[in-house]
Amino acid sequence: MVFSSLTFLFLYLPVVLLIYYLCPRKYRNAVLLIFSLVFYGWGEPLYITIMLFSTALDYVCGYFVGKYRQSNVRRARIALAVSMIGNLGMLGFFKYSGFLVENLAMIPGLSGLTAPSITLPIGISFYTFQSMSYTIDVYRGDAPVQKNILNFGAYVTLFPQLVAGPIVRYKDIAAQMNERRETLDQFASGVQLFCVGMAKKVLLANQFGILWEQFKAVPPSQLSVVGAWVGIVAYALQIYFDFSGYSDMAIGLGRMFGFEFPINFNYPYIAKSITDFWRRWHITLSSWFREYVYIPLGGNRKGLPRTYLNLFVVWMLTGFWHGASWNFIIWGIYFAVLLMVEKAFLLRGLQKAPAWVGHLYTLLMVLISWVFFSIDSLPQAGAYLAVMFGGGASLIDAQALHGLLYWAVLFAVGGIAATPLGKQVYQKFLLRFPRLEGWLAPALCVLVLLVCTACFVDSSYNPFLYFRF
Amino acid sequence: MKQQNGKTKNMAILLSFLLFIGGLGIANVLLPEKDFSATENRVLASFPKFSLSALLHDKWTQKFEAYVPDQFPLRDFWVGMKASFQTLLGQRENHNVYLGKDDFLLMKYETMDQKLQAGSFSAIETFAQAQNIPVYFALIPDSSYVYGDLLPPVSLCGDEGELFAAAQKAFSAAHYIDLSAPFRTAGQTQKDLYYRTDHHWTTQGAYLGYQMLSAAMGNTADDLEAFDRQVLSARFYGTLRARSGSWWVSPDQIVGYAPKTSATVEIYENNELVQTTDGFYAADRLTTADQYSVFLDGNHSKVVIRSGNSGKKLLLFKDSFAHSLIPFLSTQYSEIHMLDLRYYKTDFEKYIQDYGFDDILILYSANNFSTDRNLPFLNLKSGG
Repeated sequence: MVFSSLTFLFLYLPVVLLIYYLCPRKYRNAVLLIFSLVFYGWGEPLYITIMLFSTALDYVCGYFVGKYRQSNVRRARIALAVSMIGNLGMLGFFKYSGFLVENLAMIPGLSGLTAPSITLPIGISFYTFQSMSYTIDVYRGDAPVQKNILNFGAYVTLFPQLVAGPIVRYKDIAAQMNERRETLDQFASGVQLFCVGMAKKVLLANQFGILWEQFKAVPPSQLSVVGAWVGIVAYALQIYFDFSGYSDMAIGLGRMFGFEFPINFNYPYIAKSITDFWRRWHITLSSWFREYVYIPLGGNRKGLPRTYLNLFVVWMLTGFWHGASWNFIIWGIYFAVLLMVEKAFLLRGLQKAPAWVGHLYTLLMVLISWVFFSIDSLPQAGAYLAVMFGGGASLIDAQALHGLLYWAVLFAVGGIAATPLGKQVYQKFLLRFPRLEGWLAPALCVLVLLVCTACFVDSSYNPFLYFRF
Repeated sequence: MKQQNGKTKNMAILLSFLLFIGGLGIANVLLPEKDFSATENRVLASFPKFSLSALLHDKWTQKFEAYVPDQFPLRDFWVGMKASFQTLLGQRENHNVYLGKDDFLLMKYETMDQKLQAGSFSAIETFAQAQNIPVYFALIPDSSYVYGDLLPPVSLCGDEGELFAAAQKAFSAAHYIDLSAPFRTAGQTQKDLYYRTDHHWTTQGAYLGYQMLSAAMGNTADDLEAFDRQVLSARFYGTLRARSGSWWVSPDQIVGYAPKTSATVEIYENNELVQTTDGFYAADRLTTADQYSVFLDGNHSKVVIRSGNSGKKLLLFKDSFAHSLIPFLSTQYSEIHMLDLRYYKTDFEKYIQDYGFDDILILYSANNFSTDRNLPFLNLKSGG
């Protein structure tokens, strides 16, 4: 099920909220577990079994890790290894076996191999990472063992962040799983954030998506230079509002049930460097990789060559996590190289330069990266880049003009919404007109709900971009 | 005091949210199901019967997801709100309909697939070669072509002119009649050749078509004064308004021009005569959403019009644009067989021999023609 649908908003959510709040506190995690399984099974009921298997595996492994981590480290390590092999094995089987076979088949002698057709269970990249963090945190002594399987099941399956994050590390939420107090203030702030997220997804991301599709459908040889830029900027806004909108909705929904999830985006497009960008984009993923891969590899504590190697490994994996194809690996390595160059000298240079240089450089590098991210054929991506840098059929054509003209309002709104400017204007406005304070927020929430409902009715089917991860 | 304000605000947010999702949710469940949407002209999805096997093997959840929006309360209201939102953003296109100048709605034309175009053309040419009576082929330009200046600037609407230019060169046995140039010329001054809210030509547009076709087919066209003008509907909301959700545009008028000598209209379904009426208009259709069906009662697989005028017989392959043209054509033919290739398929060579036609006309609107895949059925052979 997706958040941006009538079924979720008007049937699923009211029922879950009603039953959740009618139930005594001690049954609430069980309510969440059951409804999360319904949410997950909605797309493919059979995949609930994978979810239950993953939950049971990590519950048992976590139990043994906790039991032996002081008395018998070897056994604790075996339990941890079982958990990691189990999770990564599932991820590998469902997500990467097709890719592996396809590439093996290119080796002479192995050309008879055919890729198995496996449907990717939604959210598997997210929940395997999330449940692995439990056994690792227990092993490290960062979190206690969760004895109650319902509480643990609720953690793994929690529907708000189940399919597209934020990736919540167990230690950050362990205490909330056992005990939390839902409050009016938290609920109301959850509603507001949910509405902000829905506006980003439905009113902005989807509109930019329509524009990007127009450019993506044209062979690069027929694109104009301006058209290629308009297209990739539209994609940049689409993916940001889509993904950060989803995260906002998830965090907002979490608050309605008394959870506080970590933030996932912090205005990434105002970053001053790529290093800065990755502290602001998909924060929970990069901190997962830092915490569980980069630092265990030695991070930056083992000399410069090793630091670079670690960066390379982590970013190649980050790229590969985003999708089982070469363009994502290239995309990851591209960022690894940029981060190394920044570490070597560029960051110091950027600090001395005027701020706009850093902003411009970052935006440019990020836009180039989105070309590789969004176009999965490498020659096509290369051709698209060539058009951006002057190799177009013309400087500007009707398609580019059309995009600029009819998306002008959206580009303006999107540009403001992607920076802290919108929030600042809103707060200044409230300072100026304090009497509006009481009803402006509720009115805006209702407005967003109305227009989004109109969009859902108008087009009923609209899957999230991040569903393929 | 400040804290009190915060509490009130949060309570207001909480209540408005819960009332909104809960209220509409309950309404969605409690309101009775509707079978048919008149504005969309389609059957709505109904509640899918639940069973374990439906859930596991029959995509029950997907059917449910189709059912919810179809039965959502105030469907038309929401669709209109989306259209208004889109307009507010400065966009001038919704569901492939352009919101043109002067509230004129125009259907987007997508350039015809080259393979499909070649296939349809050659089907017509092959068909014409096999006949020993003249086969005429005409494409009716759409409003986006004739009134291109009403389109929003840089609209990316495809150019039907490419299709007309290709048709000019494609035929030798079939006689291609070009309507695009005369319509463009007339369109400069005559702004009523097409409905503003519907994709069809108006009866005035059909009259111009009748003049052009008559000249090309060796018939004499009567003056417009020779027909009795009557307003069939003063409030006609057409397909383009429904499709685009722009409820704010003002209605069109449907005008009929009836010849002095009337005719009987025989309607066939599955080759069986189901209805015989006097005259060209089905007045009961004016109370439905699809008012254009007032002409010859809308789409039927086969309709025969007997007028008793002169002695010639016409075989007409057509789409719904022809319906408002028929009253004019009926003055030139004693019998017109109007066939819809989408629903009527037979061995046409035999059909032609059986009835002894004098002329054959293949008449489509350019936009319909560009997506129609049925023209190869012209050459259908029985037993083959």
